[in-house]
Amino acid sequence: MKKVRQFLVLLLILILCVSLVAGCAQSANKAPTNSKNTQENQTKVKNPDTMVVAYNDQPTTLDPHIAYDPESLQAISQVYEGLVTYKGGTNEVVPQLAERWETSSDGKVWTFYLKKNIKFTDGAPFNADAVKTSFERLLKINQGPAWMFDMIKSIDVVDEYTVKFNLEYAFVPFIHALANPSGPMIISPKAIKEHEENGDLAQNWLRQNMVGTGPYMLESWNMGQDFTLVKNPDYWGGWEGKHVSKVVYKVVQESSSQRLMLESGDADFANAIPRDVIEDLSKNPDITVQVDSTVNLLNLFFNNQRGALKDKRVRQAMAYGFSYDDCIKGVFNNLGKRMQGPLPPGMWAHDSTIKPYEKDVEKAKKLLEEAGYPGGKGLKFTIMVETGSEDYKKVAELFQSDMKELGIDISIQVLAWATIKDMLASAETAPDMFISGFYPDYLDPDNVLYALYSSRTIGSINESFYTNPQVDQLLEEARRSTDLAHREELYKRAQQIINDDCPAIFILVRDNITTMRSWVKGFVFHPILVNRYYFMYKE
Amino acid sequence: MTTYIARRIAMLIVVLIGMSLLTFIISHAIPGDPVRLAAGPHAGPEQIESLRKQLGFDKPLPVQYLMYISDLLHGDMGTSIETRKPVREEVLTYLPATAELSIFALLISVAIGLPLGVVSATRKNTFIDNGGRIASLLGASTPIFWLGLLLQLLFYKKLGLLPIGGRIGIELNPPAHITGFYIIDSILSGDWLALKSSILHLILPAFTLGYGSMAVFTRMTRSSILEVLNEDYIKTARAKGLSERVVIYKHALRNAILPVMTIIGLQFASLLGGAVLTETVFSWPGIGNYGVHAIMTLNFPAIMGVTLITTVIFVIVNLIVDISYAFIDPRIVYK
Repeated sequence: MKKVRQFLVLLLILILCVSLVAGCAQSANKAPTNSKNTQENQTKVKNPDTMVVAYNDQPTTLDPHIAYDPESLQAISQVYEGLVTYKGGTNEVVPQLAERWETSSDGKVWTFYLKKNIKFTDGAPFNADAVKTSFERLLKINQGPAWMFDMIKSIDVVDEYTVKFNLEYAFVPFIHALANPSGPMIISPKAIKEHEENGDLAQNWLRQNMVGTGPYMLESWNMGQDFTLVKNPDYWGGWEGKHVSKVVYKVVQESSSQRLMLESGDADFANAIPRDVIEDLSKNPDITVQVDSTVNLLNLFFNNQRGALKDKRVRQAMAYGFSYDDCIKGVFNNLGKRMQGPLPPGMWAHDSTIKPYEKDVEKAKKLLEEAGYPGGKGLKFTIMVETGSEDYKKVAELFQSDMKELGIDISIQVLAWATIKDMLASAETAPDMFISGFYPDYLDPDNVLYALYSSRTIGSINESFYTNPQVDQLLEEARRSTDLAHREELYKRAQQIINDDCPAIFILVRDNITTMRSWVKGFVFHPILVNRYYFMYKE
Repeated sequence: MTTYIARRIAMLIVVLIGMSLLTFIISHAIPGDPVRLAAGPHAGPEQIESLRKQLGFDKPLPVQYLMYISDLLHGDMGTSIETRKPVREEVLTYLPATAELSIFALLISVAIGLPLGVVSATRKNTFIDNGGRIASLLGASTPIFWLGLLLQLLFYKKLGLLPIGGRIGIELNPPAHITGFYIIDSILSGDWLALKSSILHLILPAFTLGYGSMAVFTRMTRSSILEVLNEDYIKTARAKGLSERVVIYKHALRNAILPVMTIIGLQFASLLGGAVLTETVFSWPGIGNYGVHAIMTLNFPAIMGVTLITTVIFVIVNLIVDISYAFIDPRIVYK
């Protein structure tokens, strides 16, 4: 009895101490990270042949013709390859599985000459048939990324290593669409045939299996836990030089856990480190924090077909009433750049002469008066924000307070994205305004301007229901013109008109923050491509 | 007893039908279109309708419900809108993880809470009792999320003793799937490295999850024993000259355990449901996380699957608790 009592006393003390000691641990955590452990990490690389990536979610599917989420694309881009890709860190499209390509003078026929002696991981040869089979599968499934290729009329196999794409109309950004990581990946035709069930084009099988030509192949996927890729020993790119043999994506939802793993060296990359700890983290010599410009837009879209919002003067007044600098500084810790019109700065054909809307309350009030709403009289709107998007909510609150200054009453509604998305199906049901991020699929103005502001995309991605026949005409002409200088001119004109029409408040382009161990070498950020671990190593 | 069990199982079917109908109505009543979401941001009306048809959501709601029930009777819980995988497969992947975590949390909380409650009662108003009271108060009031983070800081970062999360080390393959419980599967397949890693990975999340229940068990046992200790038969036992240990553990505890048993049953069910925060902090691939994600994306089939499976477990656990009364207290007879 005495021993039991002693044991219980000890146990009790332990329980009581847990909270106290752990509390101390928390304060210890705030100390500069130059401890002995850290110094050891600096010199000794953990798991030198494995890249461990702490990711806050897992892929939804491994099928490259369906996947359209960043988690899935992360995995897919290590295993599958396309005909072309972007050169790391640039906007330049370079060959991947293709050796070279040419375009007909009318821009409707694209011929690709393929690399030889490449095999899929199931032993099937890569050739023109494989390209045709893959693209036909993508178009037949017609989900997720398929919309980017809906102009393909037919695909001809010219010979074993030459394939021809015949387009419905000249589509100049076609090469950029082929360089993006979602959709145009080539799957082994043998795998598609062998695993087809009831005419499903092997959708069921390819959801959790991968057969590509890339540097890695799937080893295991433990649902909700981790996802492991191992090197494809027969990779056509070879394994000379420095590479890692294994890539492990570990699902770590909690950002504080990701940070701890990064600090201890158990993770080489962490994808969900909050902005407010970045400064603290960057003081740790074992951790590299890299901030890069992106094309990740944040807009506050108006319903351009709703009541007073039909009047561009009302929309412009709201754009003049918004505190851009406070938003970028206060909400995004200065990790972003001010938008200058609807296109992200840095993208080809961006018009840098556009004068962005700046906060000017007097001008805003004058515009409201001209529109027949002096002092914002009677203007009452609801802004919708997606559940869980704390940043968006803060932007909405800032907007609400700014609009109060103009006499406009804004109420904020936080809803699940599935609910908002349902409402956005038509202008009648859509909210007055909503905040939304947009990440282009490829680096061509067509992917931003045509997608978001052409009346032809109303019902899909043009969720502001903005329509302007002049803009439609410019965007249609620009996507078909093979004259680069003319295209640029058309896009610049379109940007000027869209900026003046103000279908949205163009807030900012958010920076990308990469947090990784300093022993990771060879990392190159690309605004469209996901990380390619084949080009990285640990040292 | 057999008739009683049969009647309770028959009741379960009624409960399940009611629950499935209720969940179906509620989840479909929430405004939102998960198919539009799953079709991708650029999908046009044609693509969305094609996917809706493929998933069977183009039919009227009563037809959808009847089809769901008919499929359910054949063991098919539908297809996840998000991943297009069978919900049954996903539920069976995530459920054992939560069950393993909840069972261990329960074991830890009972193993600590019960003896602590007994000692607190027998040593009333002493250092141990007061300490137990503080521990219980902390257990009842400490948010799981916070406790989990603190334990990670202490045992992972400071001491380097335990892993930060997950079910098994990334350097190891999970044991061959037999039951889905890593500890049992590693024993059955003789994979001792996996066993060690699984146990180490379980300690922090199980303690975090079980800490609140431990507080409940401690307080419940204490008050229940204190009540029993005033009974005449305890006085008789003491008068007979029985040792204090026999009096407490054989006479008092056995009589005091019934209300605690009820609480244990209820706590287990709530552990299953309340594991979501622990699962998030410790990246535990459980059904709680899966369910919350399904709700956020309005993934109807997944919501239905999680609700039904949780209902079944809840009802069965309660049944087991009810049956166990008869074994603990011979006066209870089910007819």
